[in-house]
Amino acid sequence: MKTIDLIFKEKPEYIQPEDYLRAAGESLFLMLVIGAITSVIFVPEVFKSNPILERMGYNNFCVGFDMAPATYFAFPFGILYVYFSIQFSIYDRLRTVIVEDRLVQWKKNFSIITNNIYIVSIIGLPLLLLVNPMVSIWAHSLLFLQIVVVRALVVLANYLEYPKPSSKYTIYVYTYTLFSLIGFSFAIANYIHFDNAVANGASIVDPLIPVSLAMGVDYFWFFLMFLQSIIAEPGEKIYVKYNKLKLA
Amino acid sequence: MKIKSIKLLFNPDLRKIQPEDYLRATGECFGLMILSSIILTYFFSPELFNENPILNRLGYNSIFISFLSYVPANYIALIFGVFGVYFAIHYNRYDLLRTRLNSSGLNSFKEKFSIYANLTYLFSLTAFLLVIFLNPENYPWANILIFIQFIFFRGMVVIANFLEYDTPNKFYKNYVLINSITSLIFISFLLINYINYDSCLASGGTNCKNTIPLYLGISIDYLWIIQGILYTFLPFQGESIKLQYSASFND
Repeated sequence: MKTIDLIFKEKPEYIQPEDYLRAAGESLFLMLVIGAITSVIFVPEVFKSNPILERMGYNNFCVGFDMAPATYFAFPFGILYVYFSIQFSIYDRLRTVIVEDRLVQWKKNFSIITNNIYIVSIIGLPLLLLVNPMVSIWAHSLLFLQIVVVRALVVLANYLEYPKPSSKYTIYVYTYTLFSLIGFSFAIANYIHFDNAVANGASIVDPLIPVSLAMGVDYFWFFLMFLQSIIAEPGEKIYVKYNKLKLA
Repeated sequence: MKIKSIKLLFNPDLRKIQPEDYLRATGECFGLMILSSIILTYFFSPELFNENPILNRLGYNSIFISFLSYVPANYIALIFGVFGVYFAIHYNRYDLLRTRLNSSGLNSFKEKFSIYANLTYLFSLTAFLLVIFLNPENYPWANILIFIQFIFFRGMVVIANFLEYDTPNKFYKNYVLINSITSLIFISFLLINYINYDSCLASGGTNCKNTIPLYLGISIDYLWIIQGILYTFLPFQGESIKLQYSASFND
């Protein structure tokens, strides 16, 4: 696991920025699994009734860590997710500057801007644990959805920097970007539809987007995220040389 | 005085790394976390200054944790807190890297103690942010125990970092000694106040108060905070790490 390697056995001689993106994905996976297990044990009723289920018609994976005490167990992994994501952004930005001679200006700018936005965007993850769906369903969901969109732009920027991507990598990146945007649109459409129906006096609201379609897009997005470490081709390694000091 | 946090996030000089810059950024973020919690509580829930579970038990408002758990202050506090943990992780990483890079080396006990104390501190710091989730109204013990473990492990990491120095100056020696004693007394005071308050309630008391005299409790609390500020903003500057980078696809 990259998460363990980068915490306990990080190699100071070189940096592979994509390793941090992969570790972030692993941290999110652990956050989902630990959260879901805790919720199944302590608050199983959350899977039967929650504001996301009411609006989307199915349980999103994140439902598992929305309720205490799952939130408390998921939180440390959320911190890891933030740490690895910021590290990826900083190292990817560093590599962009190192290899700028082979990049056209707009690709360089796109990469640096998306990395900087991601550093701000990523704080939404621990924050959405505090602003749970019972506090504010809109704030909670928007905190997550903005990460989905910004992360897609970061993955796209990383791909655009790559000199000769394979067709497999190309298909993956465009599919991931497309599904990120579709997932975002489906959620917003269902939420607005639900609010309008409730405002008009409805007590039970069927989702606007067919449940099987929205659920398929949502779950496939998570699947794509975990496929990233297998399909995405890592860019250049950054080799580090330490002046004057020697490794003990 | 320049703000380190913003520079280290968006425009760091990765060719010359000064680990203490990250320590200062940690201090900035934690300072802002506490300041924002006090200011937002003042505007949105001013009644908390006169009535809250920590005030009931200690007899005074602890500026460090009294107001971190209440809406809306906790939303902003969490943002600063998460960035604070991020910088603290970096400080520890770079400090350990510098220790490894120094050819003089440390003996195995000091090195192991330093590595384990620093790693434990990172987990402790992450756990500390849970005070933002665990409101003392509902979980007074969980709230204070999380704070207590943070005081303890912070004390350990200060000792571990001190042991990395071959010839520490007198001021640094005294600082570590005073900080260790203050941390232990502070933990004892918190536990005594909380245990006695619960005993008082259990025996049917209606006007339960702090056991430790107010002036003593406040003095130790604020002394501990001042020591934290000193350690963060007057860091005992070590050597900077100078690096050169190249990038290629070859192993």
